[in-house]
Amino acid sequence: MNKISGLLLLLSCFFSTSSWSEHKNVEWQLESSGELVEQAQKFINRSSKPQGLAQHLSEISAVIDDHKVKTRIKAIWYLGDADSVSKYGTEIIYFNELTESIRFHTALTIDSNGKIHSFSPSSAQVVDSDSYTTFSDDKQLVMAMPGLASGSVLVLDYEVILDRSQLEMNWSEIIYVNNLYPKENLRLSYSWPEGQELYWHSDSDLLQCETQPTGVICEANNLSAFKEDNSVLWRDVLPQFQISEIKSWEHVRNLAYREFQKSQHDTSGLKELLSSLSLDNLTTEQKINSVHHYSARDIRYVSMSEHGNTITPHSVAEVIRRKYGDCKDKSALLVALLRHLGIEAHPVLIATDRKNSHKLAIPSMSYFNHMIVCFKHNDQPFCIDATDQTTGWKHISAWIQGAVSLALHEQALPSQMAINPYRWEIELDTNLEFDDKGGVKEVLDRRFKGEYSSYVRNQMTGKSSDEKHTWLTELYQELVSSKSQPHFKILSEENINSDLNIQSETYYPPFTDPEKKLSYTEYDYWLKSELNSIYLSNKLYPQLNQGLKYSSKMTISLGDNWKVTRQTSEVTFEHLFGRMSRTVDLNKQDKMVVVTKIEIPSRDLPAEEIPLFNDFLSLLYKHSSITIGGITK
Amino acid sequence: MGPREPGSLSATSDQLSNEPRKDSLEDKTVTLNKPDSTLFLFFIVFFSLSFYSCFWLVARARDINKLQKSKLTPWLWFFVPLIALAQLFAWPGLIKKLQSTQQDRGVKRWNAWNGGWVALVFITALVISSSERVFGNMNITFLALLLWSGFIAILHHQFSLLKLQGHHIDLRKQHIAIRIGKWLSFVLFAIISTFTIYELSLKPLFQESLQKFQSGDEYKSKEIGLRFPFTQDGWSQVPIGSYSDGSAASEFSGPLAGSYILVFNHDSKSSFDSIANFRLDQFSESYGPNKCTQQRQLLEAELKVLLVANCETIDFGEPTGEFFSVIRNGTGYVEVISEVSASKIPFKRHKAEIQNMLSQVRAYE
Repeated sequence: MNKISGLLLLLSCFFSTSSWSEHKNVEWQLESSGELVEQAQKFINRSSKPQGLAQHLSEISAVIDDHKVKTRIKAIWYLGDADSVSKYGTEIIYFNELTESIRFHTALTIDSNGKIHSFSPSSAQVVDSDSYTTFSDDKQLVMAMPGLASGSVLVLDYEVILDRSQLEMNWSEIIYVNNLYPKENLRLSYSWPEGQELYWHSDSDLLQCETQPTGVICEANNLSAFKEDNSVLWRDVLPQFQISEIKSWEHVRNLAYREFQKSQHDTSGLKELLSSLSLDNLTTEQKINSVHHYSARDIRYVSMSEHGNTITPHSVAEVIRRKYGDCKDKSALLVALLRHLGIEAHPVLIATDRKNSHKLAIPSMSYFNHMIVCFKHNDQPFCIDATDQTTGWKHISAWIQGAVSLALHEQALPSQMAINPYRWEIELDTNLEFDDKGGVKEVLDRRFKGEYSSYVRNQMTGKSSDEKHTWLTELYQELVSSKSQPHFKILSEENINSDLNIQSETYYPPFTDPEKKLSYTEYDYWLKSELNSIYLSNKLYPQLNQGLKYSSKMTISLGDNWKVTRQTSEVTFEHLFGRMSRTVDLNKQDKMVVVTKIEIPSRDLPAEEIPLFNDFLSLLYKHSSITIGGITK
Repeated sequence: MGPREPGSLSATSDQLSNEPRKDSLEDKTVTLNKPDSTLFLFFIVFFSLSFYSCFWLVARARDINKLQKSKLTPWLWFFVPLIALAQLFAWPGLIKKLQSTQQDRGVKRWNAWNGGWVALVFITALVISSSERVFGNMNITFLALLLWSGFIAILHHQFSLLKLQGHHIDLRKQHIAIRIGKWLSFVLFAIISTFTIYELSLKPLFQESLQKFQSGDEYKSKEIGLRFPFTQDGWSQVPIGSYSDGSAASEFSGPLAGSYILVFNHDSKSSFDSIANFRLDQFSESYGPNKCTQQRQLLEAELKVLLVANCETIDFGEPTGEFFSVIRNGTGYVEVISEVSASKIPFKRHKAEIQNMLSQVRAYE
């Protein structure tokens, strides 16, 4: 199967990913002179220039009429060092081949000596953005710009003509005022016909906008670069200029719901499908389990988001017949199945790359790139991402937690998806038993809960039984001991709605003299590993601590050789960031039972609190070991 | 004072002197040992921490039996000094026998200050047996012991008068072995008790005090990287080596006899585990397994961990405890350790104070 997939990918690379420059959507009217080129030459002669990559000019002028949106884009880029030449020397312009065409006026570079290197249209490539499972009408025009060297300038002037009649949704646009590079001059201009109204919003203090009778003009100068950080959703932090022809979220909801409902018109095959799922005599929860399992695991992911289906799902009948679909197709089927069970399910739009709903200042469909299904059961809200094959329906898929969403029902407004306070929840039960030779037998039971079970199931997806064992062994050896040879048993792997249980048995050969007194330290590598995984790394922007709930019961028996003389320390750590407790009990069989609990609830941490949070984790890490002392009997 | 065996003896004065009285003695000469000097007896009773009085009473009961044909049970009198309550009945009985013997032997009858002696010796005995338990103060105990020795010496003087002045009493020299034994015991008791009294009572008086602390005062040292408050009066910082082998960074003498706090610095190669395990293993080797608990608390404001450990056992009938705290400071770790051994009530009270102080140990940087 893998070989066939690889071959298909290879073939698709040869035949469908690129084409010659004479693409029907791209027109070349190139000139090597003019006002823009003069401005670029003036810039290159300037004594002081920025470091690295910078944009000297970014000018976007759009003229909107009833049928078309013509956007003229003028840009002068400065590539101040070899690194920026290497990274940004090739220009990529995204367009939709059914709705957009591009007309080029200028495409050239000027080196530091002032010599002009014109771009040759014959070297332009139009690349298909499709993949093995995702198909759309989106293309990329790739232009490897000639003559670039450190200190060069890149000059572009082109028009994008959008045919509005082909759009499934209303027109809107988002311009990021600041970016990761400095901008010296930003100019925006949007005009629309008299009688039509467009809505715009800017949250940048630096962008000065002036409303015209039929348009808006904005300008900003000397915009500094936003500094990079390790984990940031740029759409949540960058100042934006948004413009849309939709005034209200109601309009967006109605439009999206109308398109979604088209999928429910033809549901042929649904009754047969329900019948094949044998739902009779099942409880409601079991029925939900079953239909969720079917839509998530039996309908494979293939996105046919071409013209007509960019926001509109394929019909339920088609999805049942094809047995594949993308997020909206799977959601359409799931909604139909749930509604058939008497559950009022509704689709919800998701912006997977946004968590700050306040940034959605102007109503638009273009923020959203994903769809899930939500419903209520026993008055409790649940949301299913049918593209997620490993998360049970009682948990929200980890990757959409906290994402901006728009429910397509009632009076819903953009809001944030719920976040589980404990993304990583695990319970461990460990028995360590010393034998009379000084070796130890370990019996470990790890119970992964909620989204954590989904994560581990995901890691095991596609692996054979031997491969899973090898993977688990390598993980164990890397974490605990390279010399160990654990034997694993995986329980409830297929049932995505239950906890995942991994049991292991390991024997550690004698490492201590049974004739001498014992001082043993159990380093609790599992706990250390969990703590390691939640360290935060941002230095400038807030970062989400995903939340950890760890519960462990460890029973240590010193066997027939030793009597326990010293028990490990009890722990009570209470902090704003979370808590750790450890209780110790010596039972009648002279076994030390240590119960450790750690709860670090999920929280968005400001950058200035992150070092303190990491210090807190380090502190828990240092005090996670368990010690025991014994004397020979 | 040694351990008591409450309830092991329930004798009353009647049992101790259950011989029916006779109106007259048979005129027969009795040979008794020559009495020790009153001064000797005073000191040997004091130096033996009253233990000698047990033997002395047995001997006096024998003397009475010989002089009066009484049937006192001499070995039972051994326990009288050890049990304060028994003395309430024993002393009046003995005084009564002494008085009647004095009368019989023509010696002036000792009125025992009309019962005042009995009352005082009983009160003194009560103080000796309870002062350390209740107050945890050995000074009171030793003072009471001094009085007790005096009262026994007074009674001994009356017995000496009886032997020296009484009719038909022949005195013989004590056997040389007994005399040597007595003097050897005297010397041995003198050495031991002088050391004990010095350690438990006089040492704090002579000990050089670098700084005295009252309840509410705080000890702070940037050099050691430590601060903690004193929650009771009577603590003093004393020279290094007063209680440790010289390796402590700071030492404090406590209000309870023999109580102290030692402060140790450990470098950053140590750990909470290594420091705690060493102490706990040490305690376990001395007193047996699983006598200790340890608890780690988070000092949220400083994001530091304070380890507090308690080790408790019963040693020679007395509660004994070792308590310590460990905290990280700028250079490594600092350990504050205290040992307490006392009777139940003062132990409990002192332990609570120590634990309170140790729970407030902080790094001072």
